[in-house]
Amino acid sequence: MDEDLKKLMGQGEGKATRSREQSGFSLKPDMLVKLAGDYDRDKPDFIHYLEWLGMLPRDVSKSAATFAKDSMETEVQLPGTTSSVKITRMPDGTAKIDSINGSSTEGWNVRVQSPQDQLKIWKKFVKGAYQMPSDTPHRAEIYQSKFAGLLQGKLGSSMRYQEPVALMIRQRMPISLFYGVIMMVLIYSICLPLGIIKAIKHRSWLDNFSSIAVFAGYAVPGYALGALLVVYVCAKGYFPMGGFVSENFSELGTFAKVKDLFHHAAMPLVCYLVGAFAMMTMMVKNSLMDHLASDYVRTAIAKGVSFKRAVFRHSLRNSLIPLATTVGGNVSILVGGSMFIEKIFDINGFGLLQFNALLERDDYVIMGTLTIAAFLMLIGNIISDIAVALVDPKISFE
Amino acid sequence: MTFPRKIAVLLLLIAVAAGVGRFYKLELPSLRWFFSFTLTEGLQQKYPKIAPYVTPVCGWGMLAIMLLCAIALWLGGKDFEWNPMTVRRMKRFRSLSRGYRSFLLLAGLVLLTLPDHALVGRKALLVKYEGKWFFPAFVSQNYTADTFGAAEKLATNYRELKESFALENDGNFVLMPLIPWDTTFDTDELQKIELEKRDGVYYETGSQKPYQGLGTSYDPQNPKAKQREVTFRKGRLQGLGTLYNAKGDPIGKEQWKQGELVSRELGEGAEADAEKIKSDQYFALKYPPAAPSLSRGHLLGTDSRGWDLFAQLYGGLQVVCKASVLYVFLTFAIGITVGLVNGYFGGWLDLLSQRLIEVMSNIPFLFIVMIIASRIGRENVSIVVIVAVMSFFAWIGISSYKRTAALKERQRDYVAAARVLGAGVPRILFRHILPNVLSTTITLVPFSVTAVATSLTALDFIGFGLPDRYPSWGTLLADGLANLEAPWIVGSVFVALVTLLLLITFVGEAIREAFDPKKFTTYS
Repeated sequence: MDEDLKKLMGQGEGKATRSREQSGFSLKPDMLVKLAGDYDRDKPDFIHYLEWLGMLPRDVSKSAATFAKDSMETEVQLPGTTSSVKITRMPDGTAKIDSINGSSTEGWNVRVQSPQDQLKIWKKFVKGAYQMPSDTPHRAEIYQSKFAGLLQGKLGSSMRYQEPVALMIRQRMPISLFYGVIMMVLIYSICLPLGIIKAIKHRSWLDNFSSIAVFAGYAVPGYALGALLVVYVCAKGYFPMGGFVSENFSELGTFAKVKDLFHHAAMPLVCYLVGAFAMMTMMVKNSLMDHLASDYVRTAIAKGVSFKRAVFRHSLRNSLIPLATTVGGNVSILVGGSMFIEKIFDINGFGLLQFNALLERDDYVIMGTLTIAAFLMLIGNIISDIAVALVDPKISFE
Repeated sequence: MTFPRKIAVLLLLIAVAAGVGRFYKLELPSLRWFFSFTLTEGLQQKYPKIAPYVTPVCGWGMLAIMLLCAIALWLGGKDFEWNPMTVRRMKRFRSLSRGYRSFLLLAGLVLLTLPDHALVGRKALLVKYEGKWFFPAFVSQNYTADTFGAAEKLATNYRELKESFALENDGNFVLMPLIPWDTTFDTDELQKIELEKRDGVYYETGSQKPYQGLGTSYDPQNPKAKQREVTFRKGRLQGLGTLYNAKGDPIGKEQWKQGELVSRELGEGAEADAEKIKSDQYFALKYPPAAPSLSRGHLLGTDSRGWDLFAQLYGGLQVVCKASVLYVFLTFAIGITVGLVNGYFGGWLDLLSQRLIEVMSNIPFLFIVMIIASRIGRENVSIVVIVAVMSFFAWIGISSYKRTAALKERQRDYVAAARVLGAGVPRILFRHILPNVLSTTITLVPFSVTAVATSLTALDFIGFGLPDRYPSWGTLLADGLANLEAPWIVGSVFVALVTLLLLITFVGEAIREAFDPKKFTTYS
C-alpha cells in the first residue's frame, strides 16, 4: 500500500527523479480511495481485523464509479462482466441499485462515498500540507458481502502474489519439515546416549570435555555460525552457497538427487543443530543423576542388581519422563524452521516466507504465518502433555 | 563498611560526578550517558514543546533517583549482614574455577567499556598547540580547525591534525585515543597502500603478486597533492595515465606500455607543471571494506561503509551492556511483581492472568518483535523501545517461577505472623516473601543476558533492529555476509559474540551449580 501510494504520488523508487513539489501534486481522491480499498485499508484497523477473523463480512468484487457534477445517477460496471448497473443516490446518503438491460443486481450492495468520507481516508494516508481537491465528486462503489476469515477456515490471499496464504504455507512446509525431521532424529540419537554416559561418568575427563563442547555449542547462535560458514566454507566452494536443491535437480538421477539434497542441507543442518544438543543432553544427564542418587536405586543395588541393570531397567525409564515434556516443543521448529537460517542459506521454507512477508508488508501473509506458528506451538504443548501422561503413570487425565 | 553502604558510596560518587560533569559542560566517559536521551526526530517534530526538556529531565531525574537510592542504602544498610546461606553459595561459586574465571573475565570486559570515548573515539584526548593545552574529547565545546592554525572554520579532524603536527615538528602534539575512530558515522573512505618497486615491477607492500589496478603518485613535498593516476597491469604501468597540477586540475594525458612512456599530450601552458612530476612512488587506493592494517589504525579492518570494525565491536558491546541492564531490570521487575501478586492472591486474578500468560507465551516472540519494529519504523526504534518490547514478552518466564514460589510461601508461618503483626500486602510481598524466593531468580539472570544479547544481534542482523546511529554486531554480521570478499568482518564479529555468550553461559552454569548443587552418587 505504502509503496503503491508513493508511486501514485510520483516518488516511487524507480522514478524518484522529480520531487513532489516539482511534479505538482496530481493524486486524485478517487485513486487513493480505490487503492485503500484494494489493500483493505479503507475501514478502521479493528474492523479489518474482525473481517480477517471472519466475524464481520468482507467486501469482495469491488467496482466503483464517480458521479458527474450535480448528477444523482451514475453507471457502475459489474466486475468480470460487460454489463453495468445504474446507481441512483438519494440526498440522505443512501443509494439505490437498478439493472440496465436486465443485468443482475442480486447480491450486490452499494455505498456512496461523499467528499467528507473520502476526506477521512485522504487524511489517513496523505500527510503534510496537501489538501484534497475541492471539486471531489461523490463516489459510488458496489461490492458483495462475504464472510471469508479465519473462522471460515480462510487465511486470505497474499497482496503481492495474489496467491492464497494457505497454499503458500503448504508449499513451504515440506522444506522446513525435511530439516526438522533430520534434526530431531540426530538430536535424540546423540543426546540420549551422551547424557547417559555423562551421568554415569560424572566428573570424569569425558564428562568435563563434553560439557565444554556442549556449552560452547549452546553459546553459538545458529545465525552467527551460518554467516561464518557461508563466508569461510561455502564461499570457498566446498558447499553450495544456499538454496534447497540445485537448479538442475530434476535432471539428476536418483542417487545424484539424494547427494545434491544433502550437499545443500549439510551447512544449514550444522547451524540448526549447534545449539540444540546442550539442553537435551544436560536434561538427560541431570535427570538420570537425580534418579541414580535416589533411594530406590540404592535399594536395588543393595539387593544385588547389577549396576548396568540398575541404570537401564530402573532409573533410566524414570529419568526419561522430563524428556517427554520437550517432545512437543519440537513441533514448531519441525514445521516452522528458523527464519534466520533459512534467510542466510536462502532456503525457501516457512521462515523465509515470514521474513519476506514482513519486508513486503504483506499483511495477510504476516497474519496467516503468525497464526499458523502460534497454532503449531499450541499443538506442541498438547503433544507434550499427552506424551507426559503416556510415560508417567503418576499423571492421568481421569 | 557494610556491603549496602559501599554500594551507596559508589552510587553517590557516580551521581555527583555525572552532575558536576553536566554542570561544567564536560563530556565524561560513560557518565555522559545519563544526559544522552533524546526524542527521535519524528517525535521531536510532533512535540516541539517537550523536546528540549527530555534530556535534562531524564538525566537529572536518574541522578536524583540514584541519590535517593544511595541515601536509602546508607540508612538501611547499617546492620547489614550476609545471609550465611548466601555466603556459602558465594564461596561455592568461587570454588568453581571455570565459572569464576569466566565471571572475572566478563567483569573485566564490562569495566573495559567504561572508558568509552577515552579509549575509542575520533576526538583527541589532548592537544598541545602553541603552548596551550586543549582536551577536545572531554568538553562539549567543539573546537573548529582554525583554533589549531587552519585557515577555515571547519570541524577539526584530529587524526589529520596529528599527522600534520608530526610533519611540522614545532613542539605541538596530539594525543589520540587508542582506537582513533568513532563507533558510528566515522567513514574512512579510501586507504592509501604503498606500492613497492622490485626489479622494475610494482608489488603491494608485503605481497608476492605483481600489482594490478589503479595507482596514484603524489608530490613528495605535499603528500595530499595527486600528480599522476595510472593503471598497472602485472606490476607495470600500462594504458592511460592522467597528470594533475598542484591545484588538482587535470593537465594532460599519457599512454604507457610495459612500464614505458609511449606518448604524452599536455594542455596549454602545462609544461612547467608536468616537469615537476617525477615521483615514482605509487600508492594503491583501496575502497572499503578495508582489511586489517596497523598503519591506518584499523586493527580489525573496516566494514563496507568504511567504519572501523574494532570501534564498532566496542560500541556494540556497550550497547549490549546497556540493553542487558535495562532488560534485566524491566523483565525482573515486571515478572517478580506479577508472579508474587498472582501467587499471593490466587483465585480469579490468578486464573485470568494465567490464561493471558498462556496466550502470550504461545506467540512466536522474535516474529512479534519484528512486526512491531517494522510498524514503528526502523528510524524511530531506540534501545529503550526495543528492550521494552522484548521485556513485554519475556517477563512471563520469570513470573511463573515467582508465582509457584509465592503459592508455596504464603502458607508458611512467617507470612501469617507478618500478617498478624499488621503488615500490608506490599510489605509482606517484598520484605518477607521476596528475600526467601530471590535465590532461584538470580540463577535466571545470566540466561536473560544471553537472551537479550542474542535477540538484539539477531534483530539487527535481519534488519528489524536498532537504526544506524547505534553500533551493532548484528548489522556488521549482515554486512559481512553481503561482502564475501571481506571475511574479516564476519570473523571478528563471530569471535566477539561467541566469546561473550560463552563467558555468560559458563557463569550462568556455575551460578546454577552454586545455588542448586546436584546430588550424585557413584556406584563402583
